[in-house]
Amino acid sequence: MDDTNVYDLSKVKIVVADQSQFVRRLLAAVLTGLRAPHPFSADGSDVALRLVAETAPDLIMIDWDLQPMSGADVVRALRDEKTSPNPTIPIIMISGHCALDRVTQARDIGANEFIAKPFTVDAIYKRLVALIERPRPFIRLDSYFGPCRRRKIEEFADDERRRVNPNPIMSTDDAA
Amino acid sequence: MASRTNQPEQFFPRNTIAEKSRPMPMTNLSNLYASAEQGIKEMTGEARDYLKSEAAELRAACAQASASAGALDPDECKRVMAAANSLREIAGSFGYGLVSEVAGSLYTLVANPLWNERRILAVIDLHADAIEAILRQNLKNDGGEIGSAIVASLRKAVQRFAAGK
Repeated sequence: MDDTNVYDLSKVKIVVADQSQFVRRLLAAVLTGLRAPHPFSADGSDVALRLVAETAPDLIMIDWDLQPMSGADVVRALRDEKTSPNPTIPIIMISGHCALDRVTQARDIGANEFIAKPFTVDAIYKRLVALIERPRPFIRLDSYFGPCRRRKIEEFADDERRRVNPNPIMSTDDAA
Repeated sequence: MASRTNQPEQFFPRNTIAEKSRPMPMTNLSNLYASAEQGIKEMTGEARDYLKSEAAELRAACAQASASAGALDPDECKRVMAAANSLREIAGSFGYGLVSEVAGSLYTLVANPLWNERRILAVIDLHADAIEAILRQNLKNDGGEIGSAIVASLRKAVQRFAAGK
């Protein structure tokens, strides 16, 4: 039995940044179903950064493949203490690529959590709960500012890792 | 004795999500998920149209690549990969796990610059055929026996291609 706690998210402000309008609408449908308010929507990196500055959201969910700046570069910009309006903002990175190096990179640039596409309601909700119940401390180094990166990759990607088809059509051996 | 320098500063920033979230112990998680799933379900019709249009875009990208000479040029690669990625990212959320898998395979195939040669077009076409068949027959999840046959056939084609045949 899943003993995940249920939370009222109706006051949590969220920005969703993805190039695809369909994906943004899908995420909005899931979030509102989970009783969060309708999220602010960004179709590109410029809008995403502007919304963070203007709306002071509690969380940003950002796709890796954003334009003109990539989602990864937006994360780096948000974690820049000198210029970011909120360098400690919780960031959930979303990507259709869930290979280990992508997940590792998301963690290493300062994302708090990672969700693979296609996403599930459970994956999204569990990441939100993780941000509420198990927030990670922030680390400040010369070369890095962001959530502590000591969490294991398996924990960071959680469900995504288990859902990966163990016998895909195209294996990494084929792709080598 | 060596001094401990370069120790990272560690702190907990303000957690406004936690501050604004109120536990609801009387609410059942299943009911909460059902509400969110309902939101996805209401987009199902639109999702099928979206997936079909992306499959058509994939087919158009294949046709464009076939019409030109030589291997895929960068723009043709991008067009195929964009359509494949779009299918991969959306299909699984609406129960078309097999579409996500086939589209993911196609993306990996085209993304490998070492494999950019004319022969790849036939394999791309097979992937596009498979995606169209899955959507046409409305094969959900792994597609059952038909899905297994599709995957097996694609896997053979990819292996033959990888082996240079």
